[in-house]
Amino acid sequence: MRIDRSHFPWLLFTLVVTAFAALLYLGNFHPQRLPFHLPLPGLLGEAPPTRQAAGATPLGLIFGALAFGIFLFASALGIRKKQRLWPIGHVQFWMKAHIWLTILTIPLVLFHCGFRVGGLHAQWLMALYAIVMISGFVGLALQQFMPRFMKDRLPREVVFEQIPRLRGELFAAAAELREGLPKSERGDPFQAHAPAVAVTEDRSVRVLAQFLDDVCLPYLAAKRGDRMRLGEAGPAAGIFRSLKLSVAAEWRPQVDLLEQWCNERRWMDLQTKYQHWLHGWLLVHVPASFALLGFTAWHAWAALRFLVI
Amino acid sequence: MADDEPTQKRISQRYDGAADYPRRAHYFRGLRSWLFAIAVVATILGALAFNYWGNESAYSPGPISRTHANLDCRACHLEADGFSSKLAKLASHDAEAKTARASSSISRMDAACLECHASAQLHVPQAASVGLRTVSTQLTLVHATACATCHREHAGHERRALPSQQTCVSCHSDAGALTRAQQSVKLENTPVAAAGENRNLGDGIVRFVPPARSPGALPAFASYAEGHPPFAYEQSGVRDPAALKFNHERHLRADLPQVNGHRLTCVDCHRPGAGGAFFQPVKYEQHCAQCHTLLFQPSLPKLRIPHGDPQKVRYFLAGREAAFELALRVEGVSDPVELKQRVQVEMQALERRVGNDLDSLEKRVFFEGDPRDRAGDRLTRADTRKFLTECAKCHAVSPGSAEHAPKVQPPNMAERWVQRGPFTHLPHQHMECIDCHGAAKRSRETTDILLPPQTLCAECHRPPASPTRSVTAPAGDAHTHAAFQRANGGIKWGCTDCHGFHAPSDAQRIISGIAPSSEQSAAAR
Repeated sequence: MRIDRSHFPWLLFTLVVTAFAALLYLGNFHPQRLPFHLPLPGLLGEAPPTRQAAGATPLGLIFGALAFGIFLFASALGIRKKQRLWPIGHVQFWMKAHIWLTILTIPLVLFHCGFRVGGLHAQWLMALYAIVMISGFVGLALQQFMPRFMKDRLPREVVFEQIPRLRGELFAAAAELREGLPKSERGDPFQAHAPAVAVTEDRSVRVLAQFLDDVCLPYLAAKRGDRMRLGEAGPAAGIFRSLKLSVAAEWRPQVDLLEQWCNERRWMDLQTKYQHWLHGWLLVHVPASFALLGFTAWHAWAALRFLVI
Repeated sequence: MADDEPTQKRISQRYDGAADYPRRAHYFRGLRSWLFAIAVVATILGALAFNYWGNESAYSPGPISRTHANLDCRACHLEADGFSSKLAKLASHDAEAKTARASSSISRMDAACLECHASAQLHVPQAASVGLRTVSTQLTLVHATACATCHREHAGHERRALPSQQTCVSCHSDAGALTRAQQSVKLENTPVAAAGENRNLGDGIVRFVPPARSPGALPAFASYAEGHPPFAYEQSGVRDPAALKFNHERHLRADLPQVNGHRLTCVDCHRPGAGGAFFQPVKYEQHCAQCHTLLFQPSLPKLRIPHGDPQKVRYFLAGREAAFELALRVEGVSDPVELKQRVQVEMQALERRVGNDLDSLEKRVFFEGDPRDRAGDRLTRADTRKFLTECAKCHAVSPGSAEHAPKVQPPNMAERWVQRGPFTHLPHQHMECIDCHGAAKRSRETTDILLPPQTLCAECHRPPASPTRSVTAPAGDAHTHAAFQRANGGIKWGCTDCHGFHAPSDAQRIISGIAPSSEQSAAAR
């Protein structure tokens, strides 16, 4: 999601809540750091806290519970995306809330733990939280520039999910072209550097057939086309220029067609690569988020078990 | 696969026959789903496995101190309340519920602490209160609950630093909490006089014992400089109980004869004791006799009236003839005839000054002294002080009888005025006496209390005026140093700089011995 002016109210909300939480945190845990006396209700716990763990105080637990609630809400985004018809707000609203409320968990979590990492269990939890947040920020950053980047770099886009099928179609079309060529003996296609006036029809067929068999069809069939010669725009253009010189004029439309297919294949490979960049962070973010959710529930259970009240 | 620009028709034709692609998951989504499932299952299984086979120390919020490192979690975290009970307690913020936490996990943790630290279960009485128990009418008890409030664990291997004064203030700023925490044990002692008393409580030191504070809400305050209760000697009606007539103002006047070549100063009488922490008691022989001699006869400067025991004075006066003879022998008169004549001369001189009967003599010595207007009764011609100074000039003297000498009340001057804090003069040696005891310059009565008020102490003993500024005194003399400290504060202002938290280790035993009834003990619990 692009961060634009429409996010300003959310930014403001996050800043205000962070400031309010910081005020509560300082007023309750470090009142001496405030330049004024902040009277707080007794239900927030003793000030300063009676024990080392700020998270075990009522205010610390409130911060922790709020963060946990936001985690739960954030994880519900997947459900909202799947259930598009549910009347529970626009997906864009959910996305904005997902972004800004999870950013709000950073101060909440820090105030909950009192800026201490804690023991092994809490350290794992914090590491998981860091992975989730960092991957989220990476994803958010990628979404700011990747769409424009793709638009600039990709002459043509296709539906991402259709790429495997379209690649198959390209290969099938090239294979059909190969099958349609007249039977001819194989020859060295790289004699194509000879002058065009010497090109005969039989030689054109041979050159075209050999190009299809050795270069084009393997490229269109390959899983990683970017590692092959036709996978790079510059060398591919040179190959096709040479090929055109090596075939008779009546075969050049077929060569153009092959070049077009190879270009499409290259663009699809490039689009796939960009799509992996654009969505690859989700492979980390989503599983880690749900692991974080489970870990946080475990943390709450363990904390309540050993909590001293 | 035309090379022309794509049109909607061409695009739709291209995907013709594959329009159900949204329902066919891309491998990317599939991989994500698998990873999601693995993460969730791994977390659940990990949590369950850890619960059964893992080491619970992983839940520890931080390293435990070296002292407790060999203890198991459950040594302190005794099996406490269930989740529902804890959640109910969290939800409740009723003050009474907080106080009555006999079954809470805190009290169980305290119990675990007391398993090893049994002597630390009392916060009050402090050592001073325990020491004054023979003159107090009640002893205040406060139990040292919630050990972890101060002795925080899971914060590192090293020994914990003392808690900040905020920890003390969290209770002492709440009058309600103080009242709730406090219990009293009545003692069968005679109440101290309203003005206070000076008493030797058996350790050879005369202490000022203040009267019990008037009942009422306990003073709540935020810091030593903000609302700390005044010292006990600052209570209304409290006077210095010393039975001595002493005029500080007179002794500091410029017209007073010089002593050892200089004007009388505080340290001529108030001399630091061994180590400099406290001052030596003022003694007549050491600090007063040089000026206030007890000369008896002008012609016999070595003959002095004995000091300290009225009966000895009476014997001295009754045997004055023998005293003259002995004094003359000390001066070298050995011839019996001359000795007899000189004794007669001294007796006649005494008779002219005072009279010959013992009653007159006792009256003059104990109560009246020499009349001021007679030049012959002066120490010297230039000195207007009386030659014979009566006991009643300094002491409270009550008339005697034929059998008993007049009764001279011992001065009974206090050597210690503050009991709760470990005050010593050592850190204050750079200051002038009058910086704190300025009232001495104006005091004419012994009953004046010349100790500084608490607010004066708080001028230095307060947080620094500017926390970001250094409180290091500039180079200069002691007076500049002290003035800087007064202006800027920043000198020890923490509660624990003067007060300990725990009652002395034998307080529990002493309390058990003097607790009048089990009911009160139970109430105190």
